[in-house]
Amino acid sequence: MNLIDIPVKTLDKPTGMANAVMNELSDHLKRLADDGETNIVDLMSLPMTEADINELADMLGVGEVKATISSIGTSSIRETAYRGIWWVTHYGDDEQVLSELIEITQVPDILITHMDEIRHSAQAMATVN
Amino acid sequence: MTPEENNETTETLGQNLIGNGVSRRTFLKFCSTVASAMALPPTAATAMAETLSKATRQSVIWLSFQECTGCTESITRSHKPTLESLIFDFVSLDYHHTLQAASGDAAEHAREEAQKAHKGKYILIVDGAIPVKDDGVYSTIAGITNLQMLKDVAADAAAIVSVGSCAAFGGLPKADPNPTGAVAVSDIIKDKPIINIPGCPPIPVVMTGVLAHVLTFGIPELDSHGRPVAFFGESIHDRCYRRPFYDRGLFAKAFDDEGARKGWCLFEVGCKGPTTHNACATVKWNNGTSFPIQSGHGCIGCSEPDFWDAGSFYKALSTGSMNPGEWATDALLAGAAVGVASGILNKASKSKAEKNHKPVTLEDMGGKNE
Repeated sequence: MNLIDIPVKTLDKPTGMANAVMNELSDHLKRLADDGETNIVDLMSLPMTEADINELADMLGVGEVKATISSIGTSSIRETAYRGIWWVTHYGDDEQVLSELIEITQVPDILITHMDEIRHSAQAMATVN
Repeated sequence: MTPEENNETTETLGQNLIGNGVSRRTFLKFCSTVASAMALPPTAATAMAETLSKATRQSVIWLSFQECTGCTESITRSHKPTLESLIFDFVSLDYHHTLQAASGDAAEHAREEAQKAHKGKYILIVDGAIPVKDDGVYSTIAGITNLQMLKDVAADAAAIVSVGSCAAFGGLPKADPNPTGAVAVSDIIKDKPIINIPGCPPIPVVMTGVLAHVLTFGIPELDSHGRPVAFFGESIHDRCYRRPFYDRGLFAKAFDDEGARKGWCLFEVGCKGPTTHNACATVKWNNGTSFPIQSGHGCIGCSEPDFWDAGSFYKALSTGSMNPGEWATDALLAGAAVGVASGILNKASKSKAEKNHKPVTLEDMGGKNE
């Protein structure tokens, strides 16, 4: 029997937190637009219900970029309909959510290949060829 | 790698990780998760990754004393590598008597060598309380009392991390009547920085997060109990998803009533969330599945000092006081009223331990007693 098979459910209703987060994101996006200041909002540190998270996702919409990273579980990086606002979810090896972040930036750091690794790869490639 | 060899190497952690197939993205993901869990500023994850990658691997000596190994289980229990277990790639764990392959003299020799090679620089992690009664004879390793080993290894440590409620506060071994005279690390060592990471056991990412913080930004801000404020600064109640029900006065009165089924606040069935400081409500347990309150049971307060002796887990905070002695009286009276504890009362004079035993009654659990 799985947890979801237990016929006892708790109520999950939006609490209004999504609106509060939208206000904060609006402020951050203006700062990015005006001064290039990047920011991150950590959704797991906020007392949000699953319904709140879903409501926020609906409000932000879906943009045109979607990337997946595979490293000890996956990471999903999606730009929202508001350009410069990215929804980043890191999953563990059992698909549990490790961290869920809204990044206000041109491109999340985790997508950029680090120079140390580029140098390591260049050496490896030179050895092969 | 022996401690001597490790001491000579200048390889940075970043180089070591690339060599071991741990990508920078995995590394950054770890730092993001840690920064998120520690509520560090937004730029901290990248800064943490950069700082850690340029450092050499930190020598760690882990001593296990009067404990159940639950703390080690908590941080290592996985069939696959988890993000939390990556911390073992970041440090050089030079002695841990449960995890190391060596045994007997070879194991103790490894500890002594690590002490010499990294004198004044290693981090000492302790799990378990230390018995001090009768010169500490109640727990020994390789013929050395825990008390003596702690003093010896702590003398050359840069900092000490007390993992679990036993090392931090004495925990279960210290619970009344404390037959071995168990005490916390901080009761013995007074001249070293000590970070307490209580919990029975502590949350894995809290342990790895604090270690990552120590390796990058140094010792984190601590509260009056020596606990990192990032994880223990707020109560379970502050971050509980059932908090809106508390604010609206909607409480479960028993574990099987309508309120319980609707997921209302568990305050009246004994939840210790309001007086307990830990990160369970945000970080959660079992790979982020849930935490006790989410599973329908109140918080038992395991990250607070002397929680074993603080009365019934099912007694509401509002109906008792925070004085364990008064709670004990309440619990006994409750038992006597419904006759459940009559057996205990009849034998009350037999021993102090029996007299002090406080059974959980059906009434405590919120059931009907007619």
